[in-house]
Amino acid sequence: MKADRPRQIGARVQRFEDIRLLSGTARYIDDIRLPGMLNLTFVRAEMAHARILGIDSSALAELGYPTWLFTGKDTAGLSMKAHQDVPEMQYSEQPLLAGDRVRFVGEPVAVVLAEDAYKAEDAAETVLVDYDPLPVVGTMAQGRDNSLPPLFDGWTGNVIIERQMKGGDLDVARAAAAHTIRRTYRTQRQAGVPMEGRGVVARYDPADRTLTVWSSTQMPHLVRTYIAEELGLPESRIRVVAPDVGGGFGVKGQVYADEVLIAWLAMKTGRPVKWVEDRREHLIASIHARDHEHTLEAYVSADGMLLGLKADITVDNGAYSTYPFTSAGEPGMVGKVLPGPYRLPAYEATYRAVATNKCPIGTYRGVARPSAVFSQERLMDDIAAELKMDPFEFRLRNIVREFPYKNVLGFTYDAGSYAQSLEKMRDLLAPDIAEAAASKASTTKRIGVGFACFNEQTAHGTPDFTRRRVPIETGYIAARVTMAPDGEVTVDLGLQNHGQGLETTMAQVAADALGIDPAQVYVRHGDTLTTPYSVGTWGSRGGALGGGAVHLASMRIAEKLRAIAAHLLQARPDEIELAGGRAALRGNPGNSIEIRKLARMALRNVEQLPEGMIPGLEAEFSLDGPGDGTYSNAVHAAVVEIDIATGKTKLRRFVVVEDCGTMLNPLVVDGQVRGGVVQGIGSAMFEHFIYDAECQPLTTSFADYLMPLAPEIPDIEVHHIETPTPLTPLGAKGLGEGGAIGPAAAVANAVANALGVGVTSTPLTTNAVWKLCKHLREAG
Amino acid sequence: MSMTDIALEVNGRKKTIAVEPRRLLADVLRQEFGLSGVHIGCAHGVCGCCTVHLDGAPRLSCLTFAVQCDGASVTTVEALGGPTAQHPLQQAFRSEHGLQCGYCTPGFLMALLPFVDEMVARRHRPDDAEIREAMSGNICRCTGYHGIVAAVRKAIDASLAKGA
Amino acid sequence: MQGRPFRKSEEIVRPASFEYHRAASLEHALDLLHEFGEDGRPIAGGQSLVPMMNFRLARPEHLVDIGRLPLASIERTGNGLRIGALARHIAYFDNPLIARHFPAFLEAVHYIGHPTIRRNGTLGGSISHADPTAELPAVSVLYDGEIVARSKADERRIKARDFFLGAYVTALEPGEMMVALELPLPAPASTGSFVELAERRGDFATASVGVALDHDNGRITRFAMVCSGADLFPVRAGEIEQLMIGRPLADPGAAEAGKRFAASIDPIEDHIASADFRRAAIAELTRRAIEAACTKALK
Repeated sequence: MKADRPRQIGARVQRFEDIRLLSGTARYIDDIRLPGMLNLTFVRAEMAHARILGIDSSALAELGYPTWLFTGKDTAGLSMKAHQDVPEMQYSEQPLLAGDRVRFVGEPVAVVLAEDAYKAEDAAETVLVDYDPLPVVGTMAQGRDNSLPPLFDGWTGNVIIERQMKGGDLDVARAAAAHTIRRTYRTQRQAGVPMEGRGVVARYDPADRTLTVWSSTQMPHLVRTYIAEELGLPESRIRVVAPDVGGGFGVKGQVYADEVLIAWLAMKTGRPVKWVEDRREHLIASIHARDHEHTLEAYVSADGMLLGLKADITVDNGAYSTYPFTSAGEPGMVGKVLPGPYRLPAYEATYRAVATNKCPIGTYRGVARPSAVFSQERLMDDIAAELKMDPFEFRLRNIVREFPYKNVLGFTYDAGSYAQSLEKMRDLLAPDIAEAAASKASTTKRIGVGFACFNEQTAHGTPDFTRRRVPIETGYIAARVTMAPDGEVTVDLGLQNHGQGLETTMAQVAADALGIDPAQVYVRHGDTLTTPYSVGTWGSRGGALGGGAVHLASMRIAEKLRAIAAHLLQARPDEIELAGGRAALRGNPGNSIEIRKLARMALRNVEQLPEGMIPGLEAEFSLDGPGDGTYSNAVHAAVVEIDIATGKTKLRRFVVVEDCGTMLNPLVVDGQVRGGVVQGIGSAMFEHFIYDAECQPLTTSFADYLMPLAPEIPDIEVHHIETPTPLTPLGAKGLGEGGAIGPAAAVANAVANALGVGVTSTPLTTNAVWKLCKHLREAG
Repeated sequence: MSMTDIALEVNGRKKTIAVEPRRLLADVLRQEFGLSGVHIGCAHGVCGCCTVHLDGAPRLSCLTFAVQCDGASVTTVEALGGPTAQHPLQQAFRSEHGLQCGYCTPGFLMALLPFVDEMVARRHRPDDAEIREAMSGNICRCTGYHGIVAAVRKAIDASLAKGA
Repeated sequence: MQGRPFRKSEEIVRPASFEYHRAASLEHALDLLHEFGEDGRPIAGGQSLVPMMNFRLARPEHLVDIGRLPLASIERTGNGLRIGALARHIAYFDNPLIARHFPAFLEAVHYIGHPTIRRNGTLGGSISHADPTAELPAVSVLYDGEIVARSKADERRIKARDFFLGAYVTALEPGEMMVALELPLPAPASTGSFVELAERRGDFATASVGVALDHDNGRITRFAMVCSGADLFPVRAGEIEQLMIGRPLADPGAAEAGKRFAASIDPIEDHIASADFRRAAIAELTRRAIEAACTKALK
């Protein structure tokens, strides 16, 4: 219908939220200050694995100012329970404060509260913990060694979960194969590091038994539910507010023990309690990510067709299972996505998570897929090299071309632009490929071109979670749209906005449906008091499901506006179009009425409504994702220049061809892609969270944990192909994570291409690349 | 605990306050002056989030004790373009999508403003490497720096065009 | 051996209490530092000291603020250059004496941190902090600098080569502070270069090499070389320096010198770089520094 042609969706609308973010008037968690507030400092474990023999807090009494101390004895019985209810998973809980045992450096052992943050730190320093060290489980191999004592009483060994998934007949593939290529790939442990760390403030009002918790979280409703269940409070009396949140990337997409603990402390002390994480705490004790090893065995025909893939996947999970995605989530995701965008007749994966005395692994942008795609796409290059085939040609021969496509595990891929993206990338890279080939003559410098092709399950709905029996349980997003008597609109959104531009893109969506300007739409989010229950912002579902929910709710209001206008203009509702702030008779724009007048009628001058119409202009819609999700796809490419003598690697070019279906706002899409890519470049080249053999963390400051800085990064070129999906209302697919998924593989393939060697691990630091250049130095 | 009286001129307003010597300028600006645009990202001088101007030049307020600044003038992002962010560099950040979560943004603005001014004064159009070097003390985790580089270029170009 | 700070697992990023004293004059500062001894530290830019204090790895009981003392001048002395301890790193960029006489110094400054650090960091802060791979300690050693240290009782001059004793450890005594660095002016026909390898722009170096040489008639007549990353402090290349004298600028044997030097050292190892890698990088940086200096000399 021409009348409903989108005007705002697809436009590069400048972001509304930028004004407060640029002017310094945004309010983050640390900006919340309440009368009578106590500041909290954690006393954290200094040993990776030990029994706590005693806690000496006697010095607190001599400080000369009031302090409050709480230990695991006080919080006994309260814990985080993140379990996937399958027989292969060993059960564990994380106590809010360690009980008689600590399991990683940084685990909270006690808290000290004081009326000033500096004083709370001074006080925490005086608390002494007596430890009796236990043997450390520090590596994947140690985690699989059942002769070492388990981290939890009652466990058998330290393998938390080991399961299999399969499809097709691998024996047939093996028998038919002309080539068997077996490789082991390793991706390192990382920290997510939003520029604002986490933080929690809680206040309890005993008069009306209400608890308010402010948290720098991506999922306020889930925080509310967990606190209610764990503390036995009525959920109706708990309000969780995520204020302005300074980046999340999945790190803030878990419910943390400290959120429950601080709510409990506010009730216990009768005072508001505040904790703002410092950077060292963030690095050692908020979640870590990645830390995978995959052994893949591919069976390939003589003419370069993939026949089968066998995978053995291990994730070094650290000490605890995180809520709500659990320690089964990370390795399970690898098993699920390794078939990728290729036609693969047979597949079998064994995946496991092992417990070690390290910070727990959780969800960080891409969630397992950066590691999975690293292995998958390194393997594709390694196979192509073994078969002496061009890597584009090999992939194009095996790429999925017909949609919908049911993959070897039974997941259905909706339409994408897999082959087209590869072909476009091949064209874009032609000059670099020629330059790389020419550089092979040099004894000092090599240029390499590498790329990675992947598809990404996004916005997956409830069946995907119930299948896994994972505590997240569902994946829907809700939105409530309200038009006021003056025609201005409020969107109360179940998503939480922490950089994604949702205050703008959701306004665009509502504006299109309602025929008004996006500036007339005020998007509120992050507060359980005002927003409808939703799972929060994670899993690349904001645009697809949040946008869909806003659209459908707005359309219900639009329908009512049309009915009122039709009544007034003596037409049928389907003859009315809403645009430019007016409801007009199609083909006769002179015959129209202002939308704000319709709003006033709907809410105030209700006597003018059509007979029987109920007053009001409010609609709410909850949108679940498609059962298998909707699949975005992309090809990422890197061009590197390597100094053979030192290993110094310069990233000369980075190119993305991506397809996230309908783009709500290309400005925001480009920003999401580029930001994700640079995080992925961090995975590829710089970032590594390192523990020593005793599981003491070595990279506990920004001088040691190295994130990409501007000079290391080239402009990120982004090219779009739009294949709208029929599975979401606006045709949008998930977008937020894809940028971070491809770079590790693309950069590694570029380094492999430059040096003519296999690359099996990340990060590709200068030292690592120097090692890979050894044969060239010896030849030169 | 000893307190020291210091006089600060912050965003044009003079105020004398008593501070404990160990209080970081960042904490004092946030708590005593209510300037929540001063963000603390690492508190060890590596991320640049807390950059303010001390006597007109960029300074990491997490590596500065407020007592050291007695008699000095401090400018924070709040004074740049007011509550609606009217400064041309702020507007360029907006049009070029040079920010996402906004946490690092005040630090980038305060670190880059003198660079923009200097380039304009010298009538020099910097290349990408120069712009990236100028922001090498600031970490942004959201944008991949692309939009920030574009914003700086746009702000410089606009000023150069106006002056031409 | 570990070469980097901030390893303790205490979760604190705010400083412990201290008393603050603003020095009205150098004499006042020295009186205060004398009084406080090991419990006192001077502070100016704070770029090195305050991170350590925020992590409570340094916890001086008294800070003596010398930031407003007139110690920032860069001036010609009899046959040398005297740089005040409070000279900011950016001051070197437009100083003609540094550009003319100490090219390796100027090149080294380009590798220091980033603009805000260069604007606020001071010479005295960098040298007294003695990070194992910081640039200014390296060039002070390269140019046979002398650190002028004052205490209440006297003034002494410490050769830069003898000043750096280990990672973050210097020859300064309690009560003493650095007031200047003096560098003897090289011969008229001299040049130099400084090359560095770091993981990212502005990071402390994985390794760096600086070279300063005099030349006459196309040959090297004096040769000095400093290396960071070979030990916990910048080291001179003793034997190599002798070896290079008399070699032609057009063919100085730089690669061989680099290999020889690298074979003589026992580099530090940390999570950024293995000892093997540092050794190889130092060999290559040595080659590049020598070749760059010789190329300049030939121009």
